[in-house]
Amino acid sequence: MPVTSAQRFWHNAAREGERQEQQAEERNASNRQRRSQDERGFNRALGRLEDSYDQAIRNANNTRDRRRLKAERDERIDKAIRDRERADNPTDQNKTIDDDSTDQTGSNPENGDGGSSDGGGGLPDGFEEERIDIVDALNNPSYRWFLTKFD
Amino acid sequence: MPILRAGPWGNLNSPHEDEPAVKDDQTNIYPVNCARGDWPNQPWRLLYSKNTDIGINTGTAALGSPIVAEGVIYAYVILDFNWQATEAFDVTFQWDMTSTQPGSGVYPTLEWQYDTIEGTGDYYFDTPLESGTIDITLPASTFGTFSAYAYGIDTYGSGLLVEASII
Repeated sequence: MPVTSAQRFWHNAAREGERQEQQAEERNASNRQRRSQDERGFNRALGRLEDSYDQAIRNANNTRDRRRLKAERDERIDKAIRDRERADNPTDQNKTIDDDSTDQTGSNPENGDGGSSDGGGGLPDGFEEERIDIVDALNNPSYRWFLTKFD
Repeated sequence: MPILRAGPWGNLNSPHEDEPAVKDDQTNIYPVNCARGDWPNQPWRLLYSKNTDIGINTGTAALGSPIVAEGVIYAYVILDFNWQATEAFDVTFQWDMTSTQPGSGVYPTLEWQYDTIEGTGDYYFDTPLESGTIDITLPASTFGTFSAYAYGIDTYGSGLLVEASII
């Protein structure tokens, strides 16, 4: 029985679909590997920064210098982590439902413990990111970013 | 565990007050410090009051900054501040009282006390030597308030200087 043009079309479409699916899977694997390498590199750089400060703190001659160095160290580490999170995560790429089928953002009311979805992966509806001063665990003045909502 | 900042001024009953335009002890609110450190937008400071038989003067001063009150018969310096800390830390209360007339003397008294919003506190009173220092350990607290004074009376009422600071 001769193959009809419709049958040929559907056969080719299925092959093309399989090819695209395989390419997407390879891209995802490559992205995961790159993210993992980036993460290790970032952690190593952070460790070196912390080690340098710790060395300087040990070598400091007085308490005032030690306190200043500790505060500077904490602030630089906080900033590096925050900057990386922002660069990595403009639309929360690592924590979307697509990655692993689990919504870790809390933006889906069915999976999270509240909040509402804005569909874009950004801040939950009605919330703002706000810098709030804190006293850190070593008595240094520092700050953290909080999600706040005005009722 | 980190704690949220209070202040910038306040007291135990009202830890979140704006900085007052007029800084004196009549407002009953004082600067809120981060242990011995400076906040990014507010250096460590205390509210002082210089009280003598000549007059009263108030203002703010940094850690380690000596406040000197000059009187004829009596003079005293009051130092007040609040703190927040995740660990206990030390401050030193320093005083120095001198008569401005040779042959005269000074009768000194001093007192310090602190209270925390968690309910802890301590109190000390003494009639010490004319100069000296006392180390005081202030506990970790989400909000604590400290007050000290150094008080001198000139034996002959011929003039005296009373200096005090928190170091």
